[in-house]
Amino acid sequence: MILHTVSGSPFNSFALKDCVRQLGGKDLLLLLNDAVSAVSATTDQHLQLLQLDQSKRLFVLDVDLQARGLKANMGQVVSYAEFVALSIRCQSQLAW
Amino acid sequence: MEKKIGIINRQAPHGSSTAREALDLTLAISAFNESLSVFFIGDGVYQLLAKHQADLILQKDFQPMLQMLELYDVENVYVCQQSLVERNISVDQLVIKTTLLNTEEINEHLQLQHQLMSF
Amino acid sequence: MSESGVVKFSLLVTGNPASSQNTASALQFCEAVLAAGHKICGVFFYLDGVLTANDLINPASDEVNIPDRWAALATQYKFALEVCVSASLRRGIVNEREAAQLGLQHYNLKPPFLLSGLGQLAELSASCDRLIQF
Repeated sequence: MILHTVSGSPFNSFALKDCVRQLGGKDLLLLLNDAVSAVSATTDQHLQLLQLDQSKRLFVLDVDLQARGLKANMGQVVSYAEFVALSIRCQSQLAW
Repeated sequence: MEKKIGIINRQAPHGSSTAREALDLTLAISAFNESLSVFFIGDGVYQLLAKHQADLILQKDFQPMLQMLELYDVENVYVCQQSLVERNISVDQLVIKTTLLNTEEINEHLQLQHQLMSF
Repeated sequence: MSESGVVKFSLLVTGNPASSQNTASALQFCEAVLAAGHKICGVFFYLDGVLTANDLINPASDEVNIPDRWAALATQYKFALEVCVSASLRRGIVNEREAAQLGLQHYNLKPPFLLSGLGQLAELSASCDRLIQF
């Protein structure tokens, strides 16, 4: 199980698109930095993100949302402490 | 047991130094770890397209260093088939011998790695 | 992982500290690792991440000095801040010894950052339970 972390905005980077395409069936996705807008906006990956959320595999970093004045419409909002826990739960991490 | 390390190359060459420095890193790590797998996906496949002339744009031609992978016994070199198709690149245009994988197969290989580094 | 539940982390940091959030994120992650009682084996700076070790970085007084925060955290918790030497020389980060060898008039490596080879990354990779990249 891989923890995928995406940092780039879905509106000016292909990181989220490439990541979602490569995501394994049990892998987790954590959005951080500018990528957090993907859970408040409607991106090209919206349906895939909804499906990930339904299987409780979509996470978004709380302070990165708050810092940008954004609210999450999907995904589990997590702290850095929970980010650490997710990275322990997964065998490896892949930064996009 | 030695850790399996996967190095994922996603950036086009020359526009940024990332591809070249990722190759430096890969060759260096290969001296300490014999369980390396190297992946080229997305724009990373452009690193392998033959006949670079990087000197024309004042960049270092690192393609000869790609040949070192084999010399350093880095045998697991994987390329994303879809990424090649999207970019109109055929396998015979690549400078090194690689194994073509689809995205599902790449994921299966990624799952086997204990650590991943992505550039 | 150890029976005590303590997990050993190594970090790989690649972003420019002045122009991206990358290094700050890594720092906040590092703080959370330590707050949870886990261990940092070391942090390896590569690509533009090596710029974090520039002692001449001097942000305005109402901005957070990320390199200072790294230096303080590493000193408090006694882990190494390793900076890749080849990536550093390319970007003008030099210690006293390299400056002397290369005939440069200045050096600017911020203590306690250390210039290291990529072998040190291999070492950090081998000794940790989790490698996290920013």
